[in-house]
Amino acid sequence: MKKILTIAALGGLFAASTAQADVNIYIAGSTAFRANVFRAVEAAFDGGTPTSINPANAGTGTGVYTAQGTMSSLYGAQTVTIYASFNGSVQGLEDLLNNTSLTFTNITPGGSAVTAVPTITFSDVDKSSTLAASAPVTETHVAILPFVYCRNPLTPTTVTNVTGHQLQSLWNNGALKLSMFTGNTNDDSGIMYVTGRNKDSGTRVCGGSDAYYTGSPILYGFNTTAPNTWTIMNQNLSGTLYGFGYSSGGNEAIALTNQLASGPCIGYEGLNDALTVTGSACTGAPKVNGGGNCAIIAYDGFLPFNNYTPGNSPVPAYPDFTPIIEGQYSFWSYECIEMLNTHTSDTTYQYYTNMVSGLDYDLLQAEVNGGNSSKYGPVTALRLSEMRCNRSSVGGSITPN
Amino acid sequence: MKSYKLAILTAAAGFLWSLSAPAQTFNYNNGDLLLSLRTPGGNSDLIVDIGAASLYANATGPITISGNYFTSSQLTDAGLGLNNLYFSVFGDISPGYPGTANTLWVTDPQSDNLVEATPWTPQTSANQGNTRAQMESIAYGATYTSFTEAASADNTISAVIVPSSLNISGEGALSYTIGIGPNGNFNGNFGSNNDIEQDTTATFTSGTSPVRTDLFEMTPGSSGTYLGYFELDTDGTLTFDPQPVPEPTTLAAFGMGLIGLAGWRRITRKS
Repeated sequence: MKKILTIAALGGLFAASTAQADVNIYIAGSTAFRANVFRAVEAAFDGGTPTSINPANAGTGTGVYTAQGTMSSLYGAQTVTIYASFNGSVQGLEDLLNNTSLTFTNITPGGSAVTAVPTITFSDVDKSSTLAASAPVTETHVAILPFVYCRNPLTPTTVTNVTGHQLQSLWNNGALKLSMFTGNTNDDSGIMYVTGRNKDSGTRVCGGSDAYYTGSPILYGFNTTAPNTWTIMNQNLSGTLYGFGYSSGGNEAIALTNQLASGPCIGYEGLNDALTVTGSACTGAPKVNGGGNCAIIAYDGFLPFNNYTPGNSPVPAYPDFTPIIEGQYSFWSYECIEMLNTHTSDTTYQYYTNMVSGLDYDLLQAEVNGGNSSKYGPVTALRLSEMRCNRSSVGGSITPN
Repeated sequence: MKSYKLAILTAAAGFLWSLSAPAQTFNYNNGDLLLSLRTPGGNSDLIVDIGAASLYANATGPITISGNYFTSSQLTDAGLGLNNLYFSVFGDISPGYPGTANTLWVTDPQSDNLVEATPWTPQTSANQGNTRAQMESIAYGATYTSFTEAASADNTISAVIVPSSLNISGEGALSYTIGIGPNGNFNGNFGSNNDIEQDTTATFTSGTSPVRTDLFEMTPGSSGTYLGYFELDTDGTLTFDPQPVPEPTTLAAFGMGLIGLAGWRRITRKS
């Protein structure tokens, strides 16, 4: 009897060790940086591509996907599964702080959803500038992430710039008379609306900080049940604490490109989602312009890149980010990769360190290829080593290197 | 027997979870009035939800705030005393909620206890919107703090102690101390000279004179409707006394007086 028990126990141990051989990494956080993460995830697999991915057509804009394959240099012959569900920078940090489980897609199409606490998250802003400042994580800067303000199809072409002081009042009220933005008294009766993200967004944190905004903003959203109207967003989309606003940059981009919208509106976006609004010249994966007067507009008098006139041309696949690099344009932040402190020598730690270098390599390749390939372009972030200025905090002063 | 043990364990686990799990205890709703208390240089503020503004606009008799909406222990645990105490009451209607958007309720401190404070200068809806955003941030800071802490005697449905330094960049000034600013005017958003805070002296509790602050309802573009006043007594009792509403008999007597006065004038003119 004892022998049987021993054999059974050994068998159990073997089964357990076999099961542990598989490596599962759960990624959450920033929606604005998801394109870069997608490319880095792909590149980490042997041969630069996973064996399988669900959904099969997942790409740089996909918010939830699962990829599987091998990464010989890290884990030998073990099967590695990367689960990704981008839910917002701040929310990702909150998930790590509170050990909150998220729902991920099964690698098998149609398979049961997988529930797990994320092991790595991405944040567009330092954790110290978020509501999850006490999250017990190792934080590493991996890139510079530019953000932009976009105008929707109904916004007059004369709106080419928005200032931080205009934004302060615009966020406080949700809408202001259009003439403030066009400089034309004939637009006194017109209304400029503002849309934006909920509190789980790093883009929102960065935008507010950079404009020295202190307050609780009113945001408008496109009302799908009453077409043609902008309506105050007062329904929580993801929990009480996360407040009102779109839960992803992609959803906000959809609102900003809606041709049925009843009036002018501006909002902030990460550059990847902004390309949905404005179009890009990337030849590998051309983006369709949102139409009408959709365009990126200047912020405090500067655009984030040169050789672009709002509304007159698509965004270059590899923009000249000189205004950011030199310190003229300030709406940017350090993209951070976050890992729980408890992972110091395990498989998650290996993947974390690999990912840090992988993301930089991805950006390098994107630049080498000029953004003109479906794999590497368009370029929507900057390498840390390119910067000739720095800042000590989100929205903080910008100092030459 | 096993299931009995399991039930006990489950209950115990549930109890332990309830002790440690974060829960949003503080219950703020748009249109509520917040009583906010601080001491300059203090580490904590006490934020008290004293109910819907309509409760005060429609009050027909005194409302006792202390003891009902917050306790003296909460005040003590926040590091606050009755001396050198700064406090205000405010509330708003955010766009999208019932009522006139950017309507504000704000206190206006009396300089003495006999003269009603001068109503605030009318402001546009957009200007009041700037103040509204500051008020909502303070409310969010209280809600957030309550969420991150377990329910306790210091974290209740109507009152919560908030760190006076709670200020998350991009999320706004989430503490009362930072949001109201050093001059009690929401960092100038309510008007550079419009200090809505009442304060007590360093020897307040040694005296017998209470302090009062008036409550005004400000729909955009109006100078405000006087609703009554809050009175803080030296023993810590805080009450709201509504604007006296003339009773029907009083009105009738007043009307009779007017008629009498008119008749007397006619008589004197004829003579």
